[in-house]
Order: sequence, then structure tokens, then C-alpha cells
Amino acid sequence: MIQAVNNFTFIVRDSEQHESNGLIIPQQGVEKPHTGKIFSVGELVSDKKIEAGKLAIFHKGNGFTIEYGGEEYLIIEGERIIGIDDWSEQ
Amino acid sequence: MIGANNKILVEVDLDQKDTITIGGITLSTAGKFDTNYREKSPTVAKVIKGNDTVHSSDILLCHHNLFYMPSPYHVEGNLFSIPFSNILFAKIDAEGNITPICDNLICSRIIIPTDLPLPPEHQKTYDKVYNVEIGNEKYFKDDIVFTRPSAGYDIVYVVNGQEKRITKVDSTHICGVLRK
Repeated sequence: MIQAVNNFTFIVRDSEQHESNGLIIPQQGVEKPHTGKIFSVGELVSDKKIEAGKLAIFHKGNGFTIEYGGEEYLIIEGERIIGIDDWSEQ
Repeated sequence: MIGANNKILVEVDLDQKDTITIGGITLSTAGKFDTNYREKSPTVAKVIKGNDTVHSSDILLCHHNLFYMPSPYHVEGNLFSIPFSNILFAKIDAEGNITPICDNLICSRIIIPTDLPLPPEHQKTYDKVYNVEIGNEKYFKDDIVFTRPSAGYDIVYVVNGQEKRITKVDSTHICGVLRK
């Protein structure tokens, strides 16, 4: 399994919405979601609430993507994550 | 004379451009790579006064932006006093073996598997994903490392008429690792 290092976080971005009110939106016109499931967290990420398996919220334009093994990962620095959806606190 | 503030003294042939030969080792740019790869000229320098890691007469492979005129590192003639940091990539011995220094790794690109029997020139490689060939104390041989964009620095060198291709990766640019 891929392990993030330093202050980086690997995120699997949520799937894109290609349909709105029955209209199919072309691939180029779809804005990528700003949420995704945290896949792996580097050892230098200071906020310990950022954990694998949680849902992360981030601004668009942050990070970069890497494709490997048929999966696309968004790589983002831990401090760029602006929110965590923590189901355990609800 | 010795280097101050963690600097080492090196001698450089400032006329080297696309190709340089020192001690029977010829280094050249990666002209045959695709345009989306970095095609920069690594620079070869000979150590005059080194430190615990590099010693006198060692041949170093350095970043292409280190040696130009006027340079803040220039001492006199072909002599430069350069910082001992990750802009120094590797040492090359007389047989052409490369030893990475200063947190750098020697890696190779990974070909994207395909069912089509493609000739080598049409095979594509992963972007930002490398296989470690020569590691350090943190990353080891055969680790697969994931890096920031443009972290790979492709180098072609010829030893005894044999062309070798490597990719230098700064380990501080690594964001993930996959161990087998």
C-alpha cells in the first residue's frame, strides 16, 4: 500500500457528477469535487484529526494528481486541508 | 584555501555544453527524451578541496545552474566554491558508477503496462512515479516513490562506449512511497 511521507496526504477524490436535472454535462464542463477520502497521511502532518478513511475538504487548485495502478490520487499538503468530516463525533 | 560555510572547492570546465568528458566518462544531455521531460545539462566538476563525503579529485555531477559567469560562487579561473547541498547530485567513479549524495536518489522511470506490444520508443512511463535504483538511509532499492511535479532530472552518460540513462530525484520532493 502507498504510504504518504513528510507533510503530504494522499486523497482519493470523490467521483464527479456528470448529470444535473437530467442533463448530461460534458467532461470538460464538470467541476471536480473538493472532497475526497483520505487514503494515507504523512508522518509530518501536524493535525492528528487528519486520518486515513476520513472525508477531507479542500480548496480547488490545491495539490497535484498522480495516476498509478489504475487509481488517481490527489496529493495535497496536510495544512491545505480545510475540513474533516468526522463521523465518529456525530 | 578551503571552502567556508559548508562550501567545497571545485574545478569546472566552463566550456562544457551538451557534452563533457572527464576521466573517460562522457556526459550528455537527454536529447532523446520526450519534450515533457526535463532536458537540462548536468555539469561535471572535479573536487579540489572537499569534506567528509567528497574528497579531492572526486568527480561530481552538479545542477546545471551552478556554474555561470558572473557567479557568486566564482573564486578565480575555473575554481568555484559551491555549497554542499542537494544541488550536488552524485559522485562518479572511474568505472562510471554513480553514488548519489546530499539526499538525492538515483531512480528509473516505470513503464506503464499495456496489452499492446509497443516498441520501446512508443512506450509511456508514469509521471511523478519512479523506481529507486540507488537509495539512501530512508529510501531503498526497488522502492516506488511518488514525487512532486518536475522532481525527476534525466541524465544520460556514456562510459566505455556504453550509454546509461538514470533519473535523479531529490528525496525531499518525495510525497509517498510504495514498498514491495
